Parts: sequence; C-alpha cells; structure tokens
Amino acid sequence: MSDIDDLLADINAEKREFAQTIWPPASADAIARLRQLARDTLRTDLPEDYVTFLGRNDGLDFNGYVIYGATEHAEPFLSGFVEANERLGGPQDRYVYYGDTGDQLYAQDRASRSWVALDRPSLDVVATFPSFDAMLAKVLRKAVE
Amino acid sequence: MSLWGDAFNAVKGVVTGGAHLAEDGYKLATDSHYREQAWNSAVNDAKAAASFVGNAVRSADAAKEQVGAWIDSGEQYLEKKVDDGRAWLRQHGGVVGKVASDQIGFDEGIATSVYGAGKGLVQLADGVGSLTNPLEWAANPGANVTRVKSALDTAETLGKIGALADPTSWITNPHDNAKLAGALWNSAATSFKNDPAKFTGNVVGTVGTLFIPGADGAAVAGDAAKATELATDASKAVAITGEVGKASAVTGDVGKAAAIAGDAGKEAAITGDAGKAAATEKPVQIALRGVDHTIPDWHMQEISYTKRTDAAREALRAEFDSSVRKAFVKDLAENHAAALRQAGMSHADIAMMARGRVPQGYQVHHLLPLDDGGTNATSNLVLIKNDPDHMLITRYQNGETRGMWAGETRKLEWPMPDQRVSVWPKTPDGGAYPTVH
Repeated sequence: MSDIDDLLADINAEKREFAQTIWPPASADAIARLRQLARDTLRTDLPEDYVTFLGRNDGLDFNGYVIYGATEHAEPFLSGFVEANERLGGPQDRYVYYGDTGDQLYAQDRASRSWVALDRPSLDVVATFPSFDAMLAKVLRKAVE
Repeated sequence: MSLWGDAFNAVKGVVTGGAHLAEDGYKLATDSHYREQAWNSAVNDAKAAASFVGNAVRSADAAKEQVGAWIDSGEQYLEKKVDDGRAWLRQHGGVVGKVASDQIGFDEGIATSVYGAGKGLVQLADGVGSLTNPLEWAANPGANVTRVKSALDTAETLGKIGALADPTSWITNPHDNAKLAGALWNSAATSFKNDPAKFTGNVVGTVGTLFIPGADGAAVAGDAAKATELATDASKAVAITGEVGKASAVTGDVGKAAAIAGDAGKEAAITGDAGKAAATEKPVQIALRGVDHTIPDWHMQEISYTKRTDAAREALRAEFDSSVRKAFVKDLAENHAAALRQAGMSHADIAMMARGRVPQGYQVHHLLPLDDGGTNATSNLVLIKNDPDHMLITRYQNGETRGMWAGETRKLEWPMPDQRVSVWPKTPDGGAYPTVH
C-alpha cells in the first residue's frame, strides 16, 4: 500500500468518525468526460496520477485541504476540477489548479510542467514537487498533521 | 569564548564606543572625518552586538537576565556621558553647539536603540507578559518603513514634535505601533520626553535594527536624502540594519514570539484599518463565472499592501500550519458554538472542530494576507465557506497582487468584513449572492 493510500485511509477513518462525506471513486464515464472537458475548456491533459486519485475518491475535502473532484458536488459542496479552474483562472491562466487550502493553491505550471504550491493570494511559488503524486502526498500529510 | 561571552563583549564594545563619542563631543562636533570614523566604528560594533545578542538569546537562556541587566547599566552609562557632553555644547557652543548637540543626540539615539533591541530580544525570550511582538516589526518591513518615513518627515519640522503631549502620536499609527513595538517602542518613547532629537534617532534605529533589507530600504534612504541633516544619518541607520537584527537575530525566535504574541498587538493590525473602513463602505462586488456577486456585510477597504519577503511569509505560514489554525478552530468550537450552529454547522462538524480540524466546506482565511502585513492573530482569521465566498475573494485578490516584489507597496481596495466575524457567512443563506443590476 502506498503512502498516499495510507494517508487516505487515515483521513477517511477520521471523516467517518465525524460523519463527514467521503466521496466514492469517480466512475470511468465521469473521468472520461473530465478528460474531454479539460482538453476542450482548459486546454490541458489530465495527469495519470490525478486520474488514479479520482479512482480512489472523487475529490477530497479534509481539514481545509481540498483536491478537486471529477465533478462538482453540491451538498456538501466540493469543487469540480473544471469549475474550480474556471473560477480561479481559466484557459489563459498560467496554472492549472488541482486543489487548495486556506492560504495556498496546488497547481501545475503550464509552461514548465512543474507541480507547485502557490501562495494565496499572490500566486508566488512557495514549493515545487516532481509529480502530482508528490504534491498530493504533501497535501495529505499536512491535512492530517 | 562562549557565544554568550562574545555577546557580552560585543555589547560592551558598543557602550565603550558610545562613551568615546561622548567624551570627544567637541571633536565630534567639529571634525566630520572623525565623526564618520566614530560613527562607522559604533555601527560595526552595534551590528556585532545585535547579532551576538540575538544568537545568545537563543542559545543561553540562563544568562539572559544577567546580560539584560548589563545592557541596562551600559545604556545608563552611555546616556549620562553623552548627555553631559551635549549639555556642555549647548552651554558653550552657541547656535552651532546646539545643532551639534542635537546631532549627537540623534547619533546616541541610534546607538541606544541597539541596546533596546538587545533588551527586547532578551525580554522576548523571557516571555515577559507585557511585551507584544517586536518580531512583527521584522516580519512586516513595509509597514515599518512607512512609519520610519513618517518619522523622517516629521523630523524636518522637529520643533513641532515638542508640542505633542503624547510622544507616540506623531507616528502614523500610534496605537498600533505602540502595541506592536512593545518594549522596543517604549524605550524609544521614553527618551522622547526629554529629548526629541534623541527620540528621532532612537525610533529610526530601533525600527532599522529589526529591518529586513529590501527595495523599501532604498526608498527610505531616498526620502532621507531629501530630508534634513538628520535624515542623512537616518539613511545610515537603515543601512546598518542590513545585517543587524535582520532575520537571523529575530526569526529564530518566532516560536517563542508566537507564545507571547497576544491578540492585543495583533488585533491592532486589523482594527487600525477597520476604523478607516467605516468611512469607505464600498460594497464588495466580484465577478465569478461571468456573473457579478455581492458579499453582504463586507466592504472594499483601502489598504497599503506591502509584500513581505518569502522568508518572513513562510515563517508565519509554518506557524499557522503547525499550531495557529488548529488553535483557532478549537477555540471556535469551545467558545463560539452558538455562532457555528447559527452558521449551519452540525454537532458532528463542531465536534470535529473541537479536535482542531477545519469542517468540510470551509477554510481559514487571513483577512490581511501573510504575504502582506497580515498576521496569524485570531482577529485576522475567519472560518469562511469555500464556495463561493472564499473563491470570490481569492480570485479578486490574485488579480490585485500578482507580480509584486518583496518590499513593493500598492494601495489596494481589499475585501474586509464590516464587523469582526469569526465564521462567514453567519447564516447558511447569508453569504455571497449574484448581484441584481
């Protein structure tokens, strides 16, 4: 079991304890639609690490840390990937956003392809990661601290 | 020699240098080259003292009181010697002597402020309850620079200073400054009562000692150059600070500072601007998904946004991530449960918060960002619903602050709540809504 799986298991256990929503895996159809929407509206291809995450949970919201879902959920609210990016920047933005917390955004730089944590609101790069999974692992660890 | 021993000698060196300045008061007043040499010597010693004291505070807790007392006695000695020299000049030197006397007072103010910084660090590490957070001055250089500029402007009309009953009132934001500066400020303010010239030097030196160098430093120096003869030395004061207290002497104590930093001092960061806000009351209307949204009971407030250095911002973020967020959320659950229920949170949400966890659908928002002058004070934090309120605010703020460099200041309109709120929206349907035109 990977580090990410362990962390998600811990998070989901705590969410169950407090009756918080655990989003089930995104369906294959939902992921396929997302891939297409991401290309059409945001001009980006989804990284396979993110797709794998969506296959575990269709988004995450724990302790103020959010990873966007394949679809936007209404109640309780969870940002969808496309919707969040439209709100935060859109196809012209330098970054493609995958998640956020109160004072940071988690994204990929379109030009350099690097994975970054950005200060909110200045968008200064405050950390870089070699992959989506490395960024996700960091987010999950911070969420359970 | 131990680090603490080095600190002891470094401070002693400053005192000795200052005493020489006083003893040679006449030569100091008449020989600019000598004065330059003496000044540079004192500056170098001051740098060493501040650096060593800062390090020693972190590494030799047991010796703090001893050195603090020594600094006190040294300061008294220095001031007495210099004051003696100045009195002589005033009595025998005519107009020139009076000017020289004031000039020495200014120099002395710079020197004594270093002792003040040392004392402040000592007191900080000792956790003196009355001490607010002088680290704020280091972490918030832009705001401090503004205050220094104000001090320099006022120095041009020094005569007016004496008419003010409250020595802190001639700084831009006296109430806030007094709180934020804590013991360091008090040291400067006390000296003003007897000697405005010395006070001016002390203020500049005190702020400068904790100043993190950046582009604003140049701005200050530029202003100083325009100012009077006093301002020339003020620019030196800022130049000194390049290596003095700086982050190395100060930020290492962030953890300790956090323990001390009472909400009173931090509160000032917010309440100062809140006062101005009342006069503005421009509603918050931000476009999202092509639709204008209004955030009720919030207004656009003009702020002076000065971008922090990365190091200062990340130190505050680390503090926030490691302890502040959890403590804030726990406090809400334990002491503001009624407000949380009114906002629509369930018992399970509140129970989760009592463990220090942020409930689903919310995040903790800094009203004034850590990237600017915002702090981790409770008064600067709001538990805010992610969508659409937090996203609206973030999107607006991104556009306003993108591309700034450390030390840069912009006048911005900033979304702020009309009144202090700890959770937003206050009711489930009380948040942002599409604006009807």
